[in-house]
Amino acid sequence: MKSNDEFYIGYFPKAPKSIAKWIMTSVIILVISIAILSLLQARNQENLQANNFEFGKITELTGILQTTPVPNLVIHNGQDINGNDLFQSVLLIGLGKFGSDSLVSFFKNKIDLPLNQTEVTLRGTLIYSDGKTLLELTEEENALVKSVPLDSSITISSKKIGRIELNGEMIDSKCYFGVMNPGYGKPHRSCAIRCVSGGIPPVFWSTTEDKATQYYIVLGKNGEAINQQVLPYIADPICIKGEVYQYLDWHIIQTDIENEITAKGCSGF
Amino acid sequence: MSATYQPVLWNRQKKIYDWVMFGLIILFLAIFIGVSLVLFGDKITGETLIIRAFGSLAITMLHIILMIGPLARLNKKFLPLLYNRRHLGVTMFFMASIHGVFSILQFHSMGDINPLVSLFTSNVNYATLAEFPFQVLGFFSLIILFLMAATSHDFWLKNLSPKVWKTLHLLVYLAYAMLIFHVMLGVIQLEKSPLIVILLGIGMLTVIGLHLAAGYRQKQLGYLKEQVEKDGFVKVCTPDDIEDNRAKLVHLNGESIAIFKYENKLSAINNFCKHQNGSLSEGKFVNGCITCPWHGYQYLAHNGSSPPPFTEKVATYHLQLIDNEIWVNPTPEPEGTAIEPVLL
Amino acid sequence: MILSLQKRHRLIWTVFAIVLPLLFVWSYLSIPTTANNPTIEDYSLLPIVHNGIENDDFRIIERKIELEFDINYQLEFIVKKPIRQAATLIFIGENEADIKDKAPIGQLFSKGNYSFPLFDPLQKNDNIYLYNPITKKVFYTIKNNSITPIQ
Repeated sequence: MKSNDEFYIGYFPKAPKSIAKWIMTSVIILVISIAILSLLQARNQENLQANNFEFGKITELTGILQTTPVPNLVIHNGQDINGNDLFQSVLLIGLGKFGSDSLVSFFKNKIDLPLNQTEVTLRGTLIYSDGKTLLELTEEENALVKSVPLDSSITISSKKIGRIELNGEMIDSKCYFGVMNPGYGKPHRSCAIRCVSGGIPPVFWSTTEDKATQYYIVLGKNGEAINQQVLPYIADPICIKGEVYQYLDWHIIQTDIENEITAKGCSGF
Repeated sequence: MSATYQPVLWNRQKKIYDWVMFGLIILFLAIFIGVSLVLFGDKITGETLIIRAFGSLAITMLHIILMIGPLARLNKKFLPLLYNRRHLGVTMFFMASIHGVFSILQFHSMGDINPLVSLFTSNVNYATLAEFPFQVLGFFSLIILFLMAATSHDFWLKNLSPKVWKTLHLLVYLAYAMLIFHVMLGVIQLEKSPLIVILLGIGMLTVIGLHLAAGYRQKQLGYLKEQVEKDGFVKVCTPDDIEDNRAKLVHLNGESIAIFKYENKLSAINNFCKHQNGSLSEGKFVNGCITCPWHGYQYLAHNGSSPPPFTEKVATYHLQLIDNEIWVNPTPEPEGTAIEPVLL
Repeated sequence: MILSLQKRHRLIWTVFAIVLPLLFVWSYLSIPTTANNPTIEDYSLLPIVHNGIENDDFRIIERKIELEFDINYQLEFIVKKPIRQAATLIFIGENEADIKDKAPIGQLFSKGNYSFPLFDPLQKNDNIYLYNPITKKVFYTIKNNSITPIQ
């Protein structure tokens, strides 16, 4: 009956010996368990992306401002050995969870000449991942540094590739390519919905069996923005069908939102 | 044993408890952040790291908190962990809030609608399991944890009554269930590693198993095999069945009675401590008082009253000793009524 | 705990013991997965491999195209890991200073395959430089001596 003699009273200065020993052992087990649990949970973060958001660093980019297919700045990276122009399209994004449509319209009105006869310099924060680059117009209306008339006008157009059917996921371009990590999947869904709702271009990403990744800016069947209509499909595995265009380094998919997006995998696979 | 609003009545044991708790929290965070930075430092962002570290910490702490109650009921040596459990609960709430606030800022702020409206309306697939808006589960759990943390002080316990307070605090089980699915329908859908699902599964089954084991063991305590009754008194046991300074629990006519043997005397008082309804029959007669095993509240054996200046009182019961058998009258006397102890 | 509360505890945990594991398993089984898409390119139709290099980041293959009166070369770049640069140009030259006067052979973007025509096959002293025109820095160098025939 001796073991039952000991009785713990919290406000006494010391706990009885056998109880103190028991608790000591429990605490040691707890320390080991906590260390292991923390280690296992920390290791289990396999889906982080190689993203960059140069927060706090402003970069100036010079190029041709375009309002379609989505607001973007076409930068000229010189010519290759065959004399072909090397263009790259940098998507323009607003501050926070907003697109840049209204800002770009504001700049367009400020520039007297047509956009394809003007070279503009924009300031902002670079966002980039997996070869795709975006510029957050962090200083909003002050992001336009200057505009200089060009000697001749430049035509930049999309090239039609054909119809395609793809498995993948639709995300918001700002978070996916840099601001959040990871910027896809269920935990990020609400945020992606908020961003697309705020005008950030939705992008469909898909992978092929040989591990290549493709990105498609999602537009309506007539090339119009369909941000509000795609919200129910964001960050879910879907199958999308549509007409694919090449716009510089981006693909564009023009889809009929009513009939060509399904929540299940594509029937063809 | 204070009912005025004093922040915390500090004592050595509570300080040790809190230091160990903070030590473990720092250990968890240090390992989580350290390992994340070593393995993924080139990718992970500060906000993601904070959200993940504090979320993982909070769910781990909640499992530990929920295991303490049944462990203490299964083995009294765990009672010191129960003594200051609410500091653990309140601290866990703060850890979970860091996770919650950062998540709302990160995922819902700076957008086209109010962040709290966004929380409920951005993902509206409430009718499906796989696509269920798991963040809402986390939000309501946090509200419950807030209510519990806010009312954790004895001031609220006293003013709401232990029964209402304990019932309110049962909501933690609802919060726990919601949090399991906050994790399962949230981050597990991204990080599909079976290891982490197994860990959560083991945690859940352990919590459930311990509660069931403690619950069904307690159910068997304090019931007589047969009820022999004479003149309003019921035969319980012999004095030898009770250890010195300890008690025998008996449930009779809806009353739970603790019969104490101390200083060669016998007294019977109501089993439930006025503080948090701790089981006094699992307590001990210490320094002239029956002492509750949970937080050390004390009662005089002959009248069920806390010694002055304290004011807690429990009901008392009449005892008889006939032919070396203890008989108890299950009709309670008003709380604090003095009854002459039975001499052995 | 008073008896009614004890009973309530038992009830709650008995219900939990049945419902939570079932929902848990159901939640795990219902995790949606995204399917891959078939590969579009047919590698068997590509020209023969001349030489190349493979590391964790890239697989670079120099291909030889034998035409009736001519031999052409092309450089195929397979980007295996996402490139963490805002813009990427590929230069071929003997040293970093050398590439300032040269034109790039092309640009790289997302993970996947890229092919660029070459005027001449890679020379003994040629290195491959990946250059970021925004930061104006070479961020990746592939030394020629690491380029060996591969299959």
